[in-house]
Amino acid sequence: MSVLEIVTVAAPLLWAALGELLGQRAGVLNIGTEGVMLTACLATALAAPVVGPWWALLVGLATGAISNGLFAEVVAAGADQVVAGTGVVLVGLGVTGAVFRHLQAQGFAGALVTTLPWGAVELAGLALVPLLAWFLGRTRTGLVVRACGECPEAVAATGVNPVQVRRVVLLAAGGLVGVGGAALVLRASGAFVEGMTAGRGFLALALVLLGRWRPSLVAVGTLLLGAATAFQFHLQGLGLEAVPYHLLLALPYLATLLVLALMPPDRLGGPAALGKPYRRQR
Amino acid sequence: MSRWLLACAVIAAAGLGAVAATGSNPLEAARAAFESALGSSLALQETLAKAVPLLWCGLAAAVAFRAGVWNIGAEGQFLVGATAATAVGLGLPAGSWSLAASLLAGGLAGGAWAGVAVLLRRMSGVSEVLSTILLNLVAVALVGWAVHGPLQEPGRGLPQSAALPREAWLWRPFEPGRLHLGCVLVGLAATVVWVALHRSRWGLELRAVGDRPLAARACGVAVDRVQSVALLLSGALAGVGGAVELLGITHRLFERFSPGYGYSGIATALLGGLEPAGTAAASLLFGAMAAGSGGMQRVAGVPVVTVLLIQGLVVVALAVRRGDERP
Amino acid sequence: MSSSPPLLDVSDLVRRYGGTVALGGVAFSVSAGEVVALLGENGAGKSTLVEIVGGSLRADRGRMLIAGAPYLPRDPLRARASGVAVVHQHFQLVEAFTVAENLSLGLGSIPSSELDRRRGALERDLGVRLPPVETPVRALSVGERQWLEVARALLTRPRLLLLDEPTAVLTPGESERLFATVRGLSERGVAVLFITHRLDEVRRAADRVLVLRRGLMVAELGSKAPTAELAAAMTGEETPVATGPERTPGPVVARLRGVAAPPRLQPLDLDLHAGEVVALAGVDGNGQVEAACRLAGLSAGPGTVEVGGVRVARAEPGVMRRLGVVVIPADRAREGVVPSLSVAENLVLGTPLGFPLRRGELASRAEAMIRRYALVGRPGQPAGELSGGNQQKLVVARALEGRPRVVVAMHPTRGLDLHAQAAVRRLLLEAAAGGAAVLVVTADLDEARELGDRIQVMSRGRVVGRGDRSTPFPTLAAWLGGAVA
Repeated sequence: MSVLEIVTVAAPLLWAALGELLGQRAGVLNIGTEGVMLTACLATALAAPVVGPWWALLVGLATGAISNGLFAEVVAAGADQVVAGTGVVLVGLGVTGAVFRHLQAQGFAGALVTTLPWGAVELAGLALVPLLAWFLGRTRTGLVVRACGECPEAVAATGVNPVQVRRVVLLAAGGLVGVGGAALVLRASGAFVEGMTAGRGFLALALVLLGRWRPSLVAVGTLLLGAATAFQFHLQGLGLEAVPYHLLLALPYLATLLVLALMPPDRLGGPAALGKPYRRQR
Repeated sequence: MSRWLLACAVIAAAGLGAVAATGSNPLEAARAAFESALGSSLALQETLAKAVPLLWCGLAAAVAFRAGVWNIGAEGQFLVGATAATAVGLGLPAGSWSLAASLLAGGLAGGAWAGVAVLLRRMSGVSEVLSTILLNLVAVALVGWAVHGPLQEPGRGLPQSAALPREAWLWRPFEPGRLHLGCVLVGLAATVVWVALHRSRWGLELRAVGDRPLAARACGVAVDRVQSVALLLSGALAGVGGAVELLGITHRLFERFSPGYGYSGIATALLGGLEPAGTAAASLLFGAMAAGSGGMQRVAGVPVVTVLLIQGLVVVALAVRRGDERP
Repeated sequence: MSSSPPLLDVSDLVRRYGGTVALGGVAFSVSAGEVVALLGENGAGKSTLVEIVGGSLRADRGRMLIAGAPYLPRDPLRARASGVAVVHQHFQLVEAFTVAENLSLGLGSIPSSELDRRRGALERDLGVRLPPVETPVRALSVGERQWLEVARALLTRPRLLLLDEPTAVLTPGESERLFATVRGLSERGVAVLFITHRLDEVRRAADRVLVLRRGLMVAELGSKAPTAELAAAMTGEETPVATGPERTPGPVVARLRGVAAPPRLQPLDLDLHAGEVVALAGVDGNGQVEAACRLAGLSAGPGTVEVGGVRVARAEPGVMRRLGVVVIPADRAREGVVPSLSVAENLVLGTPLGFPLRRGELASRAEAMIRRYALVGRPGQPAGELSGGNQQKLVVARALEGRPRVVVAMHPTRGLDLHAQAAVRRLLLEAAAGGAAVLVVTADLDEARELGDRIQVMSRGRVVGRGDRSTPFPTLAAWLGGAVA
């Protein structure tokens, strides 16, 4: 089991978690990330045979961005973020399932596409971690983004529209999630399978919380998870099953719940305005 | 715009869109859908059978949301209820009271599952949104473990439990139709919920807490306690729903036991205005859609899973509508 | 002051909110280097005026000129570009950020090196002392946060600085330092307009005083004018008070000892007698609501609350209810009526009820209360459809119905029309006549004099004056303005 392997396994989740982190720093809780990621997976798988893996990666990015952008519009219209996010999950599952099965019925096998060589997605993902941290922590734009997540009223008082900022941020965040979905197809499996994200979008939510909304900690959490998963694959390969597979599946969620239970109420932190709809007061 | 008008518009538009995307004849598709949902006694039974789990989860969502508690965990509570019912149903010697015991186990398990979220809320201030979602995912893993492990059917090597003994099955009056006694049970449950909400002090306080918690507090209502109880009851309802689906339809536990009933239940509750009667109507509508999608797939090639897409669009549309309403 | 045109010239400013007129045609001017105080009670229109000049709000009518040129700020950013900066009463600081980050938010166009230079200049020349820039705002005291807001405004090098109740959260020492800074600004030709309701500040810091009352500029005086004159201009003419039936106070029913909510409320002692109405008067924000919330069980803190001889262990409204304490909350929209429940359901919320609830029973109970309290509404109607006045009457009816021992009423007539105000006041007086001890928090001196057997005027978290109906109006007004008895 090598570092390379761990990073490969962890890469899609890393991209998705960083995307969710970006959105949450701006104050938007996107429960629907699972749906966004899955939609990007399908788009990538459909595009790859036609335009090749590299362009398909871009298609995945764009699909993620557009999907998240639609979510941003719904939220900007004042919808409750939790309810809208639930809807997005259903839509994502439904759209991908429907399109896929329809194409399947017409002979499309959803089968192997040319995969990407190792490197681009994985290394770019790792490089994104310090980049995102730098952007959020050390640039003026990043400051405004964080302020939208903490106190959109303060941002509005300076004449900047927080709704607009959130729109743009969600587009970018969606792009990141989309790359994660594309990576899942183009690096890990080489094909589209229904429901292939298998809860990674929800895991991203947990990782952002566990990582205290800091890119570096989120990355550490993701890599730990990747290591555990790679380790499990090895054990299965050897015919051993030291830890029941399903317990391992549940481990990240249980770990998050445990950490949440142990943390004193006011230390949970997180952007103060996260999840609250912002309305212009006039 | 009325909720129902909006929902029907979304359903019609999405349905038409799906049919158009497959290039089929909309009229034929519509007729096929109608027939497999309402066109025969068997079809009607199927519609009702599909509506039952939706209504259990819908009631769960309605009770919680009405109290101002975001229970997104009906899916997990449903699964845990089914698992507990399987364990009890397989573990107890067969007899008519094993049916009742399984149902009870389902409710208790669902309630306990929600109880974890309640504890996290009371003691550590954790948002129930996050905790219930996480618990959903744990529940899926739990089912996977159970059907690969302790509850696995001996000998076959398939990821499913043994079949429950016939005595533990919910009665189907009109075989071969799939309508079962669980339909009556859920109707009773909806009635009880209605009576509790509108004819009891508890329900009055719950509705007040969900609308204006500060005003309720000023009147002396124990807001925290009301919300905790609502969440527990919500989990129990979803848990019983899982048990009912097991005992009435599938008769065994397996992976992918729920095609998202918990989430769809949220959709029915929202469409039903968080009222038991409205949720029941919405569950019938979605049940008909689910049953009708079989016909649509046969004739028009529209995959059944499109139903999820349509439900999701309805949820989003309702979310925007509520957002417009609030000051 | 000088022969050049005034820095800020405002004429005919009008602003309405729905049916109410917040500003009914206001005109004034401020010259460079002048310090002008804007004096007025709650609801006089001061904040609205500052918001319009500061660019956060648009006037319905009127004209503004800055140094002779038309001034029409579309947002605070553009106002700042014209040289107008505002320090608000309610802070707009991001708790999670550091001092430095809050300073650079909104000043995005200015490079950080330049910001550092200007900050240094502020500290040297104007005595603006800031904590180390890497300190998180969360860790700052309220006074330090105020200074941060001031610094943020001054970094834009404004020509006109507007301060909304700047000393509301400052200690006397900090207020002195603020006024020294203001003097420094004035010496440098910056015009300063500050809102206050404190008469002593007017004298200490201002050159001129503008008095606003009910949306109109009612007086313009030199700052050395006598206190009585200032107070009278602020609160208006004394209106004759209708006195209710004579009541003799009974035994002590509730006691507050050392009840505090720092920094808003300093330790307070208060006795409430049966059959008596005590008015806690003062401009909102001086501790009255905090004291009332303690008595109602809505908040906890240092000090003891005793009702009927029983010391209250846990602050919960349910507990207080069982002791016979009811509350009429301050914020009707959020804490008053539950809009989706019916009138009948609202009226019984929180009271013991049998199962099942019968519609007919509830309806007849509601009918009785509707008649008794002169509510306009039907039992089955959603309470959200009622007018504001009727909603408030509903809240009052619900509170008084159980013949409580203690009634805590917070701003009970705020936002109501005259008719409804009179009705609510009458209900409170009747409750007292029936033996209840009533505590009324109000910002309206007329209301305090009409209702209160005893009047305690609060300022800066302390009771600064104790009086009753016979206390001369100017005395009460002066106390309201912060003069200590």
